[in-house]
Amino acid sequence: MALLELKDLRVHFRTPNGINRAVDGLDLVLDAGETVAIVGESGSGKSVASMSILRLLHGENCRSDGEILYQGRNLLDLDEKAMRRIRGNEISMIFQEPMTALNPVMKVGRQISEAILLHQNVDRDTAMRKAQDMLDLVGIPESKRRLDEYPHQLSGGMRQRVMIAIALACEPSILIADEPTTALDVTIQAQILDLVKELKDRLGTSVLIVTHDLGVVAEVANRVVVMYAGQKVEEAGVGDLFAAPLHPYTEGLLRAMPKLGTSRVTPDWRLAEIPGQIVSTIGEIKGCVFANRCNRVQEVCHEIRPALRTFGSGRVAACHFPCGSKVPDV
Amino acid sequence: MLIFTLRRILATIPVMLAVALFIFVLLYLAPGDPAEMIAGDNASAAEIEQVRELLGLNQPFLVRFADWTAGLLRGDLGVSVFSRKPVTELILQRLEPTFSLMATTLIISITAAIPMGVIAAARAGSWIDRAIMGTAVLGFSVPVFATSYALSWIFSIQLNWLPVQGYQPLSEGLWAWFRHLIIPSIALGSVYMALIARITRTSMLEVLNQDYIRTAMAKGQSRTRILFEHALKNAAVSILTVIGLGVALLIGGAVVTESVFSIPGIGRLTVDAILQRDYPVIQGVVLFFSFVYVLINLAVDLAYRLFDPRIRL
Ligand SMILES: Nc1ncnc2c1ncn2[C@@H]1O[C@H](COP(=O)(O)OP(=O)(O)OP(=O)(O)O)[C@@H](O)[C@H]1O
Ligand SMILES: [Mg+2]
Repeated sequence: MALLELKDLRVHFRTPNGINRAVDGLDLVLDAGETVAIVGESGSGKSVASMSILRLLHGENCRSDGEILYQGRNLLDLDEKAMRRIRGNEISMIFQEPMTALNPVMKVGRQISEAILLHQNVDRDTAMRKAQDMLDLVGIPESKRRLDEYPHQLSGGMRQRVMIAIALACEPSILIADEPTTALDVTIQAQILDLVKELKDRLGTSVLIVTHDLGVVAEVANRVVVMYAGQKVEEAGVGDLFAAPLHPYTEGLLRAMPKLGTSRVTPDWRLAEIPGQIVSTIGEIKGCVFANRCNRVQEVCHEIRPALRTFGSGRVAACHFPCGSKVPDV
Repeated sequence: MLIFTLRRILATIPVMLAVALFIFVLLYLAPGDPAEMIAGDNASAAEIEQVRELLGLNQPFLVRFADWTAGLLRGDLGVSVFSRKPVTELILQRLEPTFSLMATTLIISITAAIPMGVIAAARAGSWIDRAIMGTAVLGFSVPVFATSYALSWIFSIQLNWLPVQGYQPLSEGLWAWFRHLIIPSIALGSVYMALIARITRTSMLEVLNQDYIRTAMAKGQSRTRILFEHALKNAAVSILTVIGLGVALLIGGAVVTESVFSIPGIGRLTVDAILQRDYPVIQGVVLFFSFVYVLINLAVDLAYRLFDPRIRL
C-alpha cells in the first residue's frame, strides 16, 4: 500500500464565470521514503492539489472529490477533528512565501512549540526545549535567543527554516513543500534544498515537492509528475524524464531550462520558449489541454482528449503524438 | 518603553494647551455677555460693570488667557459663577458617577462587541453574520435617548428588573452600583459597540486571508483558537484605534445619558452649566473631557506595543 495515493482527485472552484476545474482527475502515488515532484507552470493547479491533501482549501465555493488515501484511509471522509490530528502531525506542509507564512505577532518559539503541544503529550517547557532542538536541527544559530524573536527579526531564508522546523517538529511521515525556494535568492535556495534533502534522509520523511523549477526537480526528486491545466500530462522517473521527455509540454519545459552554468537571473526564463498562455480551466476543455500551444499539434488533438498511456516501466503520458513518435505532417 | 511613555506624555502637553486655547477662544467669541447674565435681569449698568470688574472680564484677551492658563497649571479652573464653588471641586464631586458609567460602558461594549465581530467574520456571509451586523447597524442608527427610553421601558417599567433611573455610589455595594448602571451603559454604549463590532469584523476578515492563518491550520490548530489567538491579536491594532477614537462618542453620549437617567455626573454638570452660561464651569468640563480623551488615546498608543511587536518604540 502506498503511503499516500491520490485517486482521480478533482478540486473545483465555483466562480462567477463558471466552474474552475483547478485540479481535474489527478492520480498520484507517494511511497514511503520517496520524493515526488509536481512541476508545471503558474496556474496549472500545483498549489491547489497540494493544499487539498490537508484540506486547507475551505469555503463554500470549493469542492474536492475523488480519493486522498493516506495509509489507506480517505482523508476526504475524515471529520474535522480527525483531520486536525493528521495536519502537522502525520502530514505537514510548508509554503511558497516564507515572508508571510509566519504569524507576525507571535514569537518564533511559540509558533514551533504550538505544533508540538498540539500533537504530543508534553508540557510547555518540554515543548519549548524541543522547539529549540528543532531550530538547531534546521541550522539556525543561537537558537535559544531566536526562540524569543519575532518573524520580522529574521531573514527570508531563516523564516523558511523556521517553517521547516514547525513542519518537522512532530516527525511527520509526509512533508508537502509548495515551492519552498521560489521566493528566496539563489544561494539560499540551494541551502534550503540541501536542508530538506538532509532532513528527509535523517527522519525518513517522504516529500511531495511542488515547483516550477526543473533544476529543483533534478536536485531532489525521484519521480516527477508534470501538471498542465489541472491535469497530469506526464509522469516519469527523474532520469527518464530528463533523458527523453514524452509530452511536448515537458519537452518545452526542459528546453526552456537554462543550460548548466548559465545565469538564472532573467525573470521568467523558465517559460521563455513555450509560446502562448496556459489554457483557462474555467469551463469544459475540448481535446488536449496543451493543443493550443503544442508544436506537434494535429487535427485530432483539438477533438479528442488523449488518455494517459503507459510507456515502459512507471512512465505515463497523455499525448496522441508523444515526442519520439512520428507526427503525420511534421 | 519608559522613555517612549515619557515622550508620549510630553507630547500631549502641546495638545492640551491647544485645546485650552481653543476652548477659551470659543467661549470668548460666544454671543451673550456673561456679566449681564450673572448680574441678573434688573441690574443697573454700574452693577454689571462691577461684575465685569470682579470677573476680570474687562481685561484684554491675552491677559485673561494668561491668567486662566496660570490657574490651570495650579489645578485651578476658576470659580463657578453661580454656586461660587471652585470648578475643580465641582468636577471632583461628580467624578465617580461619570467614571463608573464610562467604565461599565467600556467593559460591556468591548466584551460584547469583539466576540460579535469575530464570529461575524468567521461566519462571513451566513445568517449569523447578517444578524450580528444588522444589530450593529441598528445600534448605530438609533439615537442614545431613544435606546435609553426603550430599554428602561422594557426592563424597568414592564419587567421591573432594573431601576428606572438614579445612581448609587460604589460605597453602597457593588450590585446596587452596577444595577443602576446596566441600562445607561447599554444605551450609551450601543453606538460604540456597533463601531467596535464592525471594525473587528473587517480587520478579522483581512487577517483571516493571510498566509499565516493557513500555516496555523496546517499545524492542526483548531478553528476557535486560530480565530482568537492567531487572528485576533493581529487585528488588535485596528480595533484598539477605534476603541480609542470612539471614546469621543461616549463623552458626547454621557451628557445625554446622564440627563436621561438622572445620574449626577459631569455630563449633568455640563448641561446645567451650559443652560446657566456658567463659563468657568463650561471651560472646566470641556477641558476635563479633552484631557480624558487624550489620556485614553495615550493608553491606546502604549497598548499597541503589547499587540504588535513590529511597532517600534
Ligand atoms: N481560492 C481559490 N478560489 C478560486 N480559484 C482558485 C483559488 N485558488 C486557486 N484558484 C485557481 O486554481 C487554479 C490553479 O491555481 P494554483 O494556485 O494551484 O496554481 P499553481 O500551479 O500553484 O501556480 P503558481 O506556480 O503560480 O503557484 C488557478 O486558475 C487559480 O485561479
Ligand atoms: Mg502555487
